[in-house]
Amino acid sequence: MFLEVSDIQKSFGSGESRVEVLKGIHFAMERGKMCVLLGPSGSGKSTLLNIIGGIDTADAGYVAVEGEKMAQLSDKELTRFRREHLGYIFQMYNLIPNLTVRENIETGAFLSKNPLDMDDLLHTLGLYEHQNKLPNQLSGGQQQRTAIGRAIIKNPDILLCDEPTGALDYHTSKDILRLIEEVNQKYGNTILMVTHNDAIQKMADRVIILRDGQIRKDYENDEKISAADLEW
Amino acid sequence: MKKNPLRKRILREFRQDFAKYLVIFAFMIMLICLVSGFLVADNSMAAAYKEGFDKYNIEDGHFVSAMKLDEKMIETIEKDADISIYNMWYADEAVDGLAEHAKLRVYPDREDLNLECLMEGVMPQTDSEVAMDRVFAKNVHLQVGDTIHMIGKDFTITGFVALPDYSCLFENNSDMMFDSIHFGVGLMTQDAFATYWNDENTPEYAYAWAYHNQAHEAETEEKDAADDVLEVLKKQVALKDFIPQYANKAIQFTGEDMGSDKAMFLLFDYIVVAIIAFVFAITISNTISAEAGVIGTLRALGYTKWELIRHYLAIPVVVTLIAAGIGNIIGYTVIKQYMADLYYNSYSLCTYETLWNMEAFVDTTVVPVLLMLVINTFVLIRKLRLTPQQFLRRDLKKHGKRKAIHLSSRIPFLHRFRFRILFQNVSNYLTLVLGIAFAGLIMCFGEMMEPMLEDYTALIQDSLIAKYQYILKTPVETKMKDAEKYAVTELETNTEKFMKEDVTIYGVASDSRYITAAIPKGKVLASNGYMDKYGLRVGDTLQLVDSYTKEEYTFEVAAEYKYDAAVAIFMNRTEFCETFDKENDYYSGYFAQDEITDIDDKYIAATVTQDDYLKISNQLKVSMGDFMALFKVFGVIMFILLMYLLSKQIIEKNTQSISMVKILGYSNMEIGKLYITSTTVVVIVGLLVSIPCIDALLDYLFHTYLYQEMTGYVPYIISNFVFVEMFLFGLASYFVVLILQFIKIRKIPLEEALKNVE
Repeated sequence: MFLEVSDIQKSFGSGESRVEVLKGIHFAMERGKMCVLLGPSGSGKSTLLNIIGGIDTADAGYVAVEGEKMAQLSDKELTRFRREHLGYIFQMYNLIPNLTVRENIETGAFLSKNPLDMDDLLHTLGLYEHQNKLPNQLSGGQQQRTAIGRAIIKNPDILLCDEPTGALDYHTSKDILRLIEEVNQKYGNTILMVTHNDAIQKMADRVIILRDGQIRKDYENDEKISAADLEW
Repeated sequence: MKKNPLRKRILREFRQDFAKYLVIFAFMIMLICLVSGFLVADNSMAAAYKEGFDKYNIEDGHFVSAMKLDEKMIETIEKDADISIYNMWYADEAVDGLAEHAKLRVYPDREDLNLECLMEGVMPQTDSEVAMDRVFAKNVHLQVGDTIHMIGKDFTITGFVALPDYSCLFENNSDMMFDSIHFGVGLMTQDAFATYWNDENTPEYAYAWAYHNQAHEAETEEKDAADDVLEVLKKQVALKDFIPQYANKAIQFTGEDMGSDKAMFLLFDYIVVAIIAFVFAITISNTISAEAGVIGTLRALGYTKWELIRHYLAIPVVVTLIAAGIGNIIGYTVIKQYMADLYYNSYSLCTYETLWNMEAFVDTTVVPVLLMLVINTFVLIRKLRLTPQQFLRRDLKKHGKRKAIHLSSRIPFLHRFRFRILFQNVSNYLTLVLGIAFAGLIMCFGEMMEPMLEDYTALIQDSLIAKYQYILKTPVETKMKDAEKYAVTELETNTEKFMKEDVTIYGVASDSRYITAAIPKGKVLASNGYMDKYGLRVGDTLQLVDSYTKEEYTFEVAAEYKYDAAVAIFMNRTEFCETFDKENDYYSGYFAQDEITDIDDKYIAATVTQDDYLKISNQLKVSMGDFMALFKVFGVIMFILLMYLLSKQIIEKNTQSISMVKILGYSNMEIGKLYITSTTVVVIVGLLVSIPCIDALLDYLFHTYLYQEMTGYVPYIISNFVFVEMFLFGLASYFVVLILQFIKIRKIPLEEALKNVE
C-alpha cells in the first residue's frame, strides 16, 4: 500500500481533563486515489490529517508512506519527507501576506527539483491575470486557488486538504472541488480531504467516516460523481 | 466608574512577551539611572563646590614673596589693603619612585583659611607623616599607610585630603592644563614643616589673603579689589607671583567644568527615549495589525477609539514610568556615586551631600513619559482611524488595498522573497538604521577621544611657533641669538553663540623667523583653530573686547595661519603697539628654538613647550577615560538591544508564514536565510551608511555644540580605526542577535499555521 495508517492513538491533556481524540485509527490507501475523511466537529479528522502530514505526532501507532514509517524520522528527515511527498491545503489558506500570488506558489516550486510549469498552472488555477496581486487583493476562492497552486506545484505524492471549502460560499466551493478533482486526474496525486460536508463524499474514491476518534464507516465509493455535479 | 476590562490584558501581555519587555525595561532603567545619576551627582557636587567657598574658607587670593614677610610688614599690608593675611608657605619636592618630574607641593596644616577636607584616614600627627591629595595619590597608585621618600626621609601617608584651593591640580596658574599625574599637594604638621623648611632650607613664601569686606559680586569688582591689593603689595613686597581667587585656575577651573556636560546628557536621554518610543510604536503597530479582528469587534461593540488608544498606550507608559522610578532610585543611590567618581577622578573635590534634584526628576521621568505618550499616541491615532468594518476585513490601509511593488520574475525567487521582507518591514528597518547610527555615534564618540587627542598633540607639535615660547612678567633682554621678541595680550570674544573665551593676540616682528607668513598692513592672520571653531573666512571682521576695560577692538582677517595650539591672531608688532597703546619697542615675550638661560625665572610668567601640550593630552585622557568607556559600553548595549527588538518584531510578524513554510518542507536554515538575510543586509548597510553620517554628525556637533560649550580649540579629527571598530562591534552585536533569531525561528511550531489567522 502507498499510504498506511496503523492503529493511530492520540489524546490531549492529562488527568481528568485528558481527552482521547483518536482511538486506534487503521486504514491504507493506494496511490492516486482520492479519500474523504468525513465527520462532525471534534471527531478527530483534522488531528488525523495533521499526524499523517507530520505536523503532529501520534501517541501510538504509525503512519508509513511507501513503507517508510514517519515516527522513526528525525525532525530533519521529517522536513525532507514533507518537502518531497506532501502538499497541504488549509481552510484559511495560510498564504504569505507579503508575497504575490506567483511568489506564494513559487515558495512551493522552490522545494521541488521538477516543479510543474508555473504559467501552465496559473492558467489551470485561473490565476494568471492575478499573479502579481497580494493575497489581500484576492477573493476567498482566489486565495484558496493560490494555496492549491502552492501545494501542487511541486507535484507532491500526497495532497492533504483540511476543510478546503470550509470558508467559501457554495459556488466557490464547487469551483475549488472541481479544481482538486482536476489536479487529481491531471497529476495523479493521492488526495486526502477532511470535510464535514456530507455531499463531498460523492466525489471521492474512498470515504472514511470518523466519530469520537474511531472509524465508523470505511468504504469504496462505487457511485463516484464529478465535483461539478455535487449538490448541497 | 466601571473599569475597562481590557486592562486585564496588560499584565498578560507583559507575561506573554516577557523577554521583550524585560530587555526594554532593563535598557530604560540603565539609561535613566545613568542620566539621573549624572544629573544628581553634577548638581550635588556643584552645590558642594560652591558651598565649599564658605565652608572651607577659601582664600580671596594669594601672592608669593621673594622673601619672608615680617610681622610688621604683614600688619601694614593688612591695614593698607583692608585684608587679613595668612601664611600659606609651601615647598615643592620630588617624590622618589614616582614618575619623572612628579612633585608634591607640601603645606603645613591649615587652621584658618583653605581648610582641608579629610577624605580618608587621619591627619598627620608626627614629623614623619603626611596627608596627600586623593587624586594625585590615586594617579600615582599610593594608598593610605604607604610610605613615600622625599627630602631624604620616609613619610607615611596617614590620609587623603582635598584642598579647596587645589580642587583642580594646576601647578602654576600659567599652565595651560592641570596635571594630576605629575603634580599633587600634601599637608604635614606645622611643626614638621618648620623642621624641614626654615630659614636655611627656605620654602616658597606664599601668603593668602581674605578681604575684610566680602562684597565683590561682579568680576570687575573683584578685579578692582585685587588691583588695590596689588598696588599695596607692590610697595612692600618683592612679588614672585600674584593670583586673585577669580583668576586662580586651581580654584575656578572645576566650577567652570561642572554642568557643561549636562546638555549633552539630556540630549542623549531624549534621543534614546525617542528611539525606544519608536520601537514601542512599531510593536503597537504590529499588534494592531495582528489584532485587527478583535479591534474591529470591540469598535463594533461600542468601544471608542480613545478607549483603545488608552489601552495600547498603557504598556509603553507603564514600562517607562516603572523604569523611570527604578532608574531614579538606582541613579540616586548607586550611579550617582559612580558619576561622582568620574568627577573625583579628575578633580580634588570635597565630600558632598546628595541633593534632591527636581530638574533631574522632570528630565528623567516626566519628559520620557511625555515623549512615549506623544510618539505612540500619534502612531495609534493614525492606525486606529479606520472604520470597524475595515478592521474586521483586515483592510488596514486608509486609502484602498495595499498593492504589491512589482518585482521582475527574472530576479531569483529567494531575492524577491527577501525584497518582500524588506518592503514589509520598512518602518522597522528605518528605525533600526536610525538606532544603529545613533548607537554608532555614541560608540564612536566614546572611542574617538584618545586617538583624537594623540593626533591633536602631533598636530600641535608640527605647528608650534617655536620650541620655546616665553611670556615675561616684565621686559628683559636676552643675548640668545635665536630669540625673537614678540608682544602678546589677551582679548575676549564677543559672540553670543559661543562661550566667552580669551583670544591670544600676538604682535610679531615684520621679518619674523617664526611667523613666516606675511601680515598685510592693517590686517591680521587668524590661527586655523580660530577660523575653524568660529567658522571664519578670509575678509571677515573680528570684534574682540578687553574684559576689564570693555574697550572693543576690530580686526580684519587677511589669511589663515596654521597654528593648531590656540585660538589666536597675529599682527605686526608695530601695529600691536599702536592698537594697544604701547611704546614702539614694547615686547612681552620671546620665541626661541633653544632654552633661554640668561633670564631669571622670576621675570618669566610662563614658558610654553611641546611638553605642555602633551600634558593636556595626557590629563584629558585620564579625566575622560572612564566617561568614554561608559559611552562605548552604552553604544554596544544599544546596538544589541535595537537589533534584537526590531529583528524579533520581524520574526514575530511572520510567525504564521514561517510556520507555513516549515509545513511546506523548508528547513530552519532555509527559513533563516529567507527571513534573516534582509535584516543582515540592513544591518551591514546601516553600519556602512552610518559611518559617513556619524562623521558628518560628529563634525556638526563639534562645530555647533562642543565648540560653543568649551573654550580653546581641539580640531575634529576622527581616526578611521574608530569607524572600523564601531563596524566590528556592530557586527559582533548583530552576530549575537542572529543566533537569537535562529533560535526563535527554530522554536516556531508547525501548529502555529493551524491556528485561525486573527
